[in-house]
Amino acid sequence: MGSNSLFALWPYIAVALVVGGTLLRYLLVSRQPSVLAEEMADAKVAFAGRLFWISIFALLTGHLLGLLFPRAVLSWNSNIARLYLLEGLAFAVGLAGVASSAALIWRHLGQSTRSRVTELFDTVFLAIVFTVLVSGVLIPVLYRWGSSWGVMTLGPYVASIVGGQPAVQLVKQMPTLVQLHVLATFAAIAVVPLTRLSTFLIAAMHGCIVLIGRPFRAAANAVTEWSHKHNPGSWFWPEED
Amino acid sequence: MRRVVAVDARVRAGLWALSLLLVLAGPTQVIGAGASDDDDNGTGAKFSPQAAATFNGRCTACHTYGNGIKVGPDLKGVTERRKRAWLLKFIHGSSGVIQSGDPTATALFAQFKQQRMPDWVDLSDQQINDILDYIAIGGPDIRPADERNAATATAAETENGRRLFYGERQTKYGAQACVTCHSVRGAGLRGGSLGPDLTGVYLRYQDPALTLFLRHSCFSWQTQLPQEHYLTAKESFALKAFLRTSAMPAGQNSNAAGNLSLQKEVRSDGK
Repeated sequence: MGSNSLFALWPYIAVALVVGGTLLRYLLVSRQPSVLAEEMADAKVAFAGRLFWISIFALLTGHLLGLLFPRAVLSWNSNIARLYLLEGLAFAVGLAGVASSAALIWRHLGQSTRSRVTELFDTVFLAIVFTVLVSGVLIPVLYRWGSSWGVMTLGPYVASIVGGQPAVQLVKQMPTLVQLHVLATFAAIAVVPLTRLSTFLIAAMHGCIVLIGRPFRAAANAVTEWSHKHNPGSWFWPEED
Repeated sequence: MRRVVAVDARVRAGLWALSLLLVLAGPTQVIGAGASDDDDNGTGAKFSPQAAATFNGRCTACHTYGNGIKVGPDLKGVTERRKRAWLLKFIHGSSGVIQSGDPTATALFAQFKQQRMPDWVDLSDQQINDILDYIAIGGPDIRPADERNAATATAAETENGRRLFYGERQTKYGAQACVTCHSVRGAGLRGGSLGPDLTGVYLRYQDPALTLFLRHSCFSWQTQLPQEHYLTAKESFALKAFLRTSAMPAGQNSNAAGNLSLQKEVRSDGK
C-alpha cells in the first residue's frame, strides 16, 4: 500500500472496522445481557485511570475544537502569549496522558483475568494509544507550533476524509512523526472492537437502537391498539349480548 | 457550612479563570481585519483586468505597444497624441470617421496602406475608456508589483513584510503568517520549526525565483482553487523585501546601509 492509498484508505478502513466490529459484537452479545454487564465491569477495572481518561478527553476535545473552529484557533494564536499558553497547556495535558497511559500499561501487564486474546488486543490498543500520545508530545518539541499549522493542514485533511475526498497531499507533506501520529490514531480506533472497551460502544449502540426504535415501537403499539378498538371482524360477527 | 464555603471557593476560582480568559481573549485579532486594500491584479497599478484582456484579444493582432508599427500604428503614447473623444469615436467606427473626411483619420488611412481598423461597435464607451486608461498607465509594460527587485523596497515596505511574516498584519486573503511554520534570524522561539529557517532564503533563491515561489501557497490544497488567492502582489513583494533584509549580514539590515549592494543587484538584474 503506497503512502497515497495509506492516507486515503486507512481512515475509512479504521472506521469500517470499528463500526462493523462493534455491530458484530453487538449481535453476538445482545442476547446475553449478563455477559455484557460482566465484560463491562471487567473493562472498568482493566482501563481504570482517572488521569488517563481526563487527559484523553481533554486532548480529544482540543483536537475537535481545532477541527471545528480553525479560524478561532489561529486568531487566538496570533498573540504570542496566548500561543505559549495554549501550547504549554496542551503539552502538559499530553505529558499527563503519556505518564498515565504508561502507568495503565504497566498495571495492565500484571493482570490476567481474561483470555489471552482479549489481553493481547487490550495491550495492543494501549500500546497504540501510547504511541499516539508520545508522538503527540514530541511533535510540539520538534515542530513548533502545531496548534497553528495543525489546523491549517491536519484539520482540512480530516475534513476532506469526512467529505469523502481525502486530501492526501496535506499529510504527505508532513514529517514522519506527524504521519505516525495520524496513522496510529486511526489504528487505535480500528482496534477498539477487539478490546474490552468495545463493551461501552456496544452499550452505547444498544442505547441508540432503543432510542431510535422507540417511535416505531410507539407507532406499532398505537396501530395494535387501534385495530383492537376498531376490529373489522366485529362488523361481520358482532358480539351478541 | 463547610460545603457552602467549598462551593463558594470553587465559584470564585471559576470566576478568576474566566476573567483571565477574557483578559487574554481581549485583543484577539479578527482574521482578515486590517487586511491591505491593495489590488488583485498583481501590478500595483489600478486598471480593469477586462481591459487588459480586451486589449490583448482585439488590439495586439495589429498594434504593438512600444515596438513600432505592425499593421497599424504603435499604441504607446496614443492617449497623449490623440484626444480621448476622437479615440472613442474612431475605435467605435473608424470607417465612418474616415468617410466624414476627418483629416487625422484620412492621413492615417493613407499612411497605413488604406487598411481600415474594424469598427468595434460592440464595445461600450466604458470598455473603450478602460482600454485607453490601461494604455495610458503603461499597458503591457505594466509589471506585476512583486516582480520589483526587493533591493528597491522602502523601509515602510520592508516593515510591512516583517509584520506580515510575524502575523502582526493579516494578509488580504487570510493566508497564515510565515512564522507559523518558519523562523528567521531574530525570531527566537516565536518562529515555527515545521518548515525550514528562512534566514538565507533570499540569497539561496535570488530575487526572481523567490518572486515565483511566493506566488504559490506552501500547502497544495490552496493551489486547487480555480483562481488562486494567496498573497497580493504587494504583500508578496513586502515579504520578499523582509526576507532580503533577513538574509543580509548583521549591520547591513537597514535599507540605507544596504544601498550599495542593492544598486549592484538592481544593475545585475537589469530592473
